Amino acid sequence: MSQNFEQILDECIFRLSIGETIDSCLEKYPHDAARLQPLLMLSSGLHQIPLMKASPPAVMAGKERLLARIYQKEFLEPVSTKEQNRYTEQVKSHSPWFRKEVMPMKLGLKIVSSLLAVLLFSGILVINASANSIPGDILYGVKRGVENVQLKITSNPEKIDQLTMKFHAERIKEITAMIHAHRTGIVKLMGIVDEVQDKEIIIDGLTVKVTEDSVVVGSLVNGAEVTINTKVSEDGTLIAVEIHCGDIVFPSALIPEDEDLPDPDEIDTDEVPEDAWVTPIPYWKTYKPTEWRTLVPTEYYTYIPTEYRDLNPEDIVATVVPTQWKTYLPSDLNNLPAPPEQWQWPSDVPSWPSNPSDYDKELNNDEMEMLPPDDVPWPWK
Amino acid sequence: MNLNHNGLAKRAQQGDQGAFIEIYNLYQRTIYSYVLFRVGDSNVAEDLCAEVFVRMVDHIQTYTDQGRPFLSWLYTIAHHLVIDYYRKRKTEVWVALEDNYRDNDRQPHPLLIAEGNLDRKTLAHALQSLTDEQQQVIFLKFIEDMTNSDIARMLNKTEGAVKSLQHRALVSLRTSLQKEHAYEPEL
Repeated sequence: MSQNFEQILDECIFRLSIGETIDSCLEKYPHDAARLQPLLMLSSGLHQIPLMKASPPAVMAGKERLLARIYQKEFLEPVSTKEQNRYTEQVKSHSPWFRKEVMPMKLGLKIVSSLLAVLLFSGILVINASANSIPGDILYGVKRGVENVQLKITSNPEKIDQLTMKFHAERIKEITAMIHAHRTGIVKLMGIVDEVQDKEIIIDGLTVKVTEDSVVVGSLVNGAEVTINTKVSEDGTLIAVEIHCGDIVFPSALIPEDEDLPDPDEIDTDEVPEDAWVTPIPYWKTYKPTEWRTLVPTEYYTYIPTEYRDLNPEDIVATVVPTQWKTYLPSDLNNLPAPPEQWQWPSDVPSWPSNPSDYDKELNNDEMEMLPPDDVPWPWK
Repeated sequence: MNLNHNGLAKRAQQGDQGAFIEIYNLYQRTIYSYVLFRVGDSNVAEDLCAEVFVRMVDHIQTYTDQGRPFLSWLYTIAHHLVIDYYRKRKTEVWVALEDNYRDNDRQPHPLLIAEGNLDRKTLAHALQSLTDEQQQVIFLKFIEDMTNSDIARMLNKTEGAVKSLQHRALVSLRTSLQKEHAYEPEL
């Protein structure tokens, strides 16, 4: 009987989870209704409890604690309690200061005050000495602690940015020092991706390998702002343990100041073909004109479409005004397909540079003059 | 929920730091949710949750794959931390617990919006009168929406035993809530 009720209860809980009501369950099992009802009400309430997530800072703080422990485990040899006790005993047996009976009170006070002065002075010395420490050094924790305190006591946003930049440069220096010292460890790097290659990325001149074990969160593309927990191997190789990708940072020189951009809300989306190339990355320039029109056809070689740069990537649908070729994501730069034959580049317009690094180069005056004027329809549509 | 991530534990045991991070990314949410369910205070839950993963690093070599999901091992660590937490504050008087609430904690549970004014802390307190397994089955079934078969794997029990446990857990929880005068369903 009891087992049967458990079965019925379980079935009703399932029914509730797929949207049935308590009443319909009770109608189905009228003999057990009295016992079922309170339990189903409780079940129904429990089912409605929302999933709670920790706050993002708490998630990050937890991860920092995890990484700190991994680092600690890797670099610090564990000391057993037995060894600690033996050491303490040795210190006690050789040190007269532990023998209370031989230390007069006044002398004790003098010693304590002297010790405090020494500690204060030595604290400053320790902080200074920690400045050049690198991961694995005893004083490295002091250095990072001082940095954290500096950040915490600074309220001016500009000053915080300056400090962040300074500490970022310090991480780069540490990595270089670790490589020279054949030291291994994990360092947190922040910066902007210069280049994404097949199995590595370049960030601020450092090459970081991205392996199958690397955890990549977000879209790893050129120009992405990233935070990387980087492992420095014995042979000096940098391996990404975890990469968090943030916003794309636009090269400010490429963004026009006075351009009057059309309102994206006024775009006639009926014009967009179903197979229009989706342009998820809000870069200012496309590296080649796009197959479908951009809001404003671009006159330069550009690298990723264009006028949607202020929108979230997920809000971007397609370019509207057709251009000659498809656009490609930065990660495709080294593997470009040939342009489709039906879209031949007009002979009076400069051809594409052969070197990919020149794709975002602006045209010179002569080349500019060869481009069709704004009021002339582009030849492919 | 995909429970087949035991390979990650093996990689972590071999010293693969990326595996630790992956484990954290995979299970942080569910462990936090579990701890919050048990303690009812988001500040405490965040702290204990972080500690779960620190303990994981410390004890990863003691983990043995006995066919149960790795997540159940993490739940065990979380469970012990929650027990320690309650043990430490055993002397505290359980009162209205209005201090240090976050807005989330203040919101009454949907559980009893209609019938009473139960908040997360009240539920966490009522759960203490349940056995460990009863608390787990409530969490896995109603919060994590796990199937009976997944719960059975997690708890190393048969599905029949899970149903039985579920029944006893609900009865105990209801009794406990009634003792708290927080739950007065209309019968």
